[in-house]
Amino acid sequence: MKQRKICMLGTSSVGKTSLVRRFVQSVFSEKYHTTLGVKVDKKVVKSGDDLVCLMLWDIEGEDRFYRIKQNYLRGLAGYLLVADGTRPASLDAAIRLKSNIASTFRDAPHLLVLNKSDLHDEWCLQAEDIKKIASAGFTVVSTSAKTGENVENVFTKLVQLIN
Amino acid sequence: MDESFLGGLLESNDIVVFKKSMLPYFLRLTPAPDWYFNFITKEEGGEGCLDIDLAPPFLQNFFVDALQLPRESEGAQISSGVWIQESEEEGECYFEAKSTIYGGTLVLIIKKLGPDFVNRHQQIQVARERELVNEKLERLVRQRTLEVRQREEEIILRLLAASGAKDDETSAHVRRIGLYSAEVAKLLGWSHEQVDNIRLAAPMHDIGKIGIPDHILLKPGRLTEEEWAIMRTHPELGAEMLGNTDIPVLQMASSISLYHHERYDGAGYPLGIGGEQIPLAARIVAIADVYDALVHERVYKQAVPEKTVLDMMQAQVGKHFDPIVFQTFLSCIDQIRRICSANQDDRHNHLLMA
Repeated sequence: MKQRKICMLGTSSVGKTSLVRRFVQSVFSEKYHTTLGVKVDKKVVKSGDDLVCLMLWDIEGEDRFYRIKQNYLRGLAGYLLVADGTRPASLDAAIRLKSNIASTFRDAPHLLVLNKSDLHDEWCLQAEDIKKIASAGFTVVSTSAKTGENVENVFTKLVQLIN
Repeated sequence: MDESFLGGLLESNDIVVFKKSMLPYFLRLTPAPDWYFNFITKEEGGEGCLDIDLAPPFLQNFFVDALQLPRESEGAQISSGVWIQESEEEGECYFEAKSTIYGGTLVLIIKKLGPDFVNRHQQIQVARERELVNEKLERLVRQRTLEVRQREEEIILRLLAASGAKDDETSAHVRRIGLYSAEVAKLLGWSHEQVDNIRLAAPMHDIGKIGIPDHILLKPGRLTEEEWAIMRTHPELGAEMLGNTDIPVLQMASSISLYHHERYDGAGYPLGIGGEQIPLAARIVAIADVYDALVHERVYKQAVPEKTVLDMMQAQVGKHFDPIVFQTFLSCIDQIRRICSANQDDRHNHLLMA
């Protein structure tokens, strides 16, 4: 079976771990539990007629306490840049992260995930911002780890881009 | 210190030590605690053998870096950073691996992180939660400030519309002057707060006209010398109305009112000062006001084509207008045009509003 390494990137508290837990275990917890270090989960998905084993690298959010080690990204097939729709600063962080890793992983498929769509009323991003991001070359998907909205889709979409 | 003592010591500290053997194996040198079999490997390759191909993916990734350590770099050490493993028996546990060269051999040390790490985790958890709260509070403050600003703006524009109902100033005209001025101020490097202030203050530049008697303000023909003298008091009247305050936007509005009819060459009024003695905000507004008045139709005049307006204004650079500010105004003329076309209303709306 083919294996594909997918990295979850973004600043802290945007819901990277929650997205993985929703995708792999179909669970969600309201309690915020910050990730320190890296956790690798696996999930087998169907891609066309093939089965693919996704190795999901949930990497601690980059912020003033933590800088992502570039060697964690070695061998990645694609990545999800996760931002929290209620926190515009997390979107800037995601864009910054992409530019930091772009030189090494220029061609790696990726998606910009705007998480917490269940809190859409509290989103501080205007439709205009989202258009701006899209026009900068990002494919944007909004998700909710809480409700599960688009979670399966975003991983499926990334796998399609990879294969 | 004998080997079993050392092994026990390492085991009680949740440390397992290996040395590199024939790839893909590392040989375990110390006793294996229970967690080692639960989390790291079942040693399918033989007892005491860690097969790197069967190790957890994070550790496999670390081996790539570890195997690149030069054998001659005795004492050199690299760390994997922290990683998390989960098992049915113990739930989530944290680990860290280190690799070093000892006696020319590559040594691997895996440690299960204990209470010290749990404390560190707790501290970072609290710090991140605090940052989230702070971020949320900052967003709320920004949002509330914006709402207050919008209310202030609304009040200012409505009062201006009411006060300007009797002459030819429309609410759109004064709003445009604020927006043009903000655009120029932005290009001149003003702070966000100052730009916001001039956007609100500039529309009040002619508020002193409230104090001019109607028979002069609304006189259709030419004003007499005496009437002109009264008309020319409106900058000071406005400055007085808006002055004596600690509110920055009103302080700026007062200053703009007082100086917006001064000229760069010193031939303006009421004080006849020139050059940089005229506050920059007033030099900006003077340009914005003349441009907007000329390109729009008034009851007593047709609109002048923009090219003619800019030529006329260019001829006044160094006389009426500050050269640098006018150059800045020209450099954002596309944006000025966009503001102009997006902020049109008509006299009827204006009267209705008043």
